[in-house]
Amino acid sequence: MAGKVRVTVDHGKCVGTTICVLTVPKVFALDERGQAIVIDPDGDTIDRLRYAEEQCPQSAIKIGISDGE
Amino acid sequence: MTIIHDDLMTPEVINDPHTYYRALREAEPIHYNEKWGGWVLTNYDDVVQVLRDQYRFSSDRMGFLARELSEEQKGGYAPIFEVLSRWFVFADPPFHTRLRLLLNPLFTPKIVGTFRPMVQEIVTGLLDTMEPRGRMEVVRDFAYQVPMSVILALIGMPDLDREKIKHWSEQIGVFFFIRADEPRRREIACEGVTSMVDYIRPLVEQRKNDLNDDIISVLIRAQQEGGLDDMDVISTIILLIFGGHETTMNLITNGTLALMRHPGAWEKLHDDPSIVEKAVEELLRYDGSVKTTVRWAKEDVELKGTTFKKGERLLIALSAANRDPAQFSNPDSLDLTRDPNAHVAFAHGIHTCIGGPLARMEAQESLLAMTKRLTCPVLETDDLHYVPSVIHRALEKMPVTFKKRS
Ligand code: HEM
Repeated sequence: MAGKVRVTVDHGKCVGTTICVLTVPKVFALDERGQAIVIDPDGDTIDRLRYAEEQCPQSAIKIGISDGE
Repeated sequence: MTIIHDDLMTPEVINDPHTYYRALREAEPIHYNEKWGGWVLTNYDDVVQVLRDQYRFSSDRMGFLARELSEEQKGGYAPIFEVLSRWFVFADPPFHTRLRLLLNPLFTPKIVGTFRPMVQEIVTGLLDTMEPRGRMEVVRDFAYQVPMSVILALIGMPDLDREKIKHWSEQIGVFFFIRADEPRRREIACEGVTSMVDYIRPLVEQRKNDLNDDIISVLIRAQQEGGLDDMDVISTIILLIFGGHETTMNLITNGTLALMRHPGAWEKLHDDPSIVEKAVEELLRYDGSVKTTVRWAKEDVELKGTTFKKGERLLIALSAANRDPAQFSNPDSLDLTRDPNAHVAFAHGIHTCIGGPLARMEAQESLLAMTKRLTCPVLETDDLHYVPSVIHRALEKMPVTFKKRS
């Protein structure tokens, strides 16, 4: 059973480097304050998501797989 | 209207920029500085807003400088232009994006973590030497040694000539740290750049036949894929050496001083090393090593009723934003467990420091080891001097005495 992907951005940490948006543009966008928001957690493969998580210099992104309901 | 003077280089401002910037923020947070020739921004919100707007504000320092110079003057700056116009910190997208995404994977928190044991070893070695002496000059004997060793290793350069490299870096720094006290700025910086290029070029040539995982190899592979030339590779290496050691050295020094000057702070970190991450964030906020950065308006831009004209420059006072009471409670006090702490010591937006995770780790390990092994150091002199720079918050020297913990 495939789990559900959960993606969160800690806005206390995000400084708008835009690296996640450039890396997986279908998953992240910027809000009006220039911080990253999740538009579609399933917008890319889990490997690409994990890569984006790692690339954040602020460690602001967290990817989790929940077991579903 | 303003009672605030415009001289950013007086001894008062250099020694204590925080008092000056506080007065400026209170009087006129968006202020035109006649002497510097541009706007000075000191509010947190304004600083963040400009830094995240790469569409209307440019980082193209060399491009804007070129417009101010005659052809003849530009000739005199040729080696500097050749190298610094390729620095992605001074570039807008798309050149910036290409290099940032290429190098970012080498500086992630995860990769940086693999260098932690190396840093611990370096720090231990340095303290093994210093401890029995009971004194050190923090800048040279300790704070500078750590980042220099690490950045040379990361880049893939032999650690044989660090004194030369340091000297050339300082020469380059004379050019754009707005070191107005140096009349031979241009010649000195040209000399530094040229020496550095001549030193690095053969290292790059050699590595072309012997690629591995270091930064030089990553740049060479990217070059082979197209779009970068030899000078792009060499210039990027110079940027990383340059950005990679002095700033971190100053954070370690300023951080040590702040811990010494706040009663109980040294012991607090000693007693509870688990606070070190928050403590380093607070030291970055409280007295970070980069006070300001600069942007240029690409078009007329209005901010809170003030219009920045196309081509005008803005001094973005990171240190001032970091002490803005609208963002931080008790901004002038040091709170080692401050949370939240959304400081802008590494800037904000697309140019946010690529070396942030590395600098954090180096500072954490340095301060942990020092507080663990030494009693709170005491200044040998109260006569401390800061480098006369608008950008860097840098102590010339910091001699201290201490005891080994029993
Ligand atoms: C405490 C230490 C450091 C501080 C306070 C600091 C500060 C900064 C700041 C404020 C910027 C943004 C400049 C701007 O927006 O105009 C920046 C960018 C940069 N820093 Fe650092 N830095 C530090 C350590 C490092 C280290 C260790 C490296 C090297 C690995 C490094 C390399 C860079 C580079 C290459 C950029 C350009 C990033 C970009 O344009 O995308 N810095 N740094």
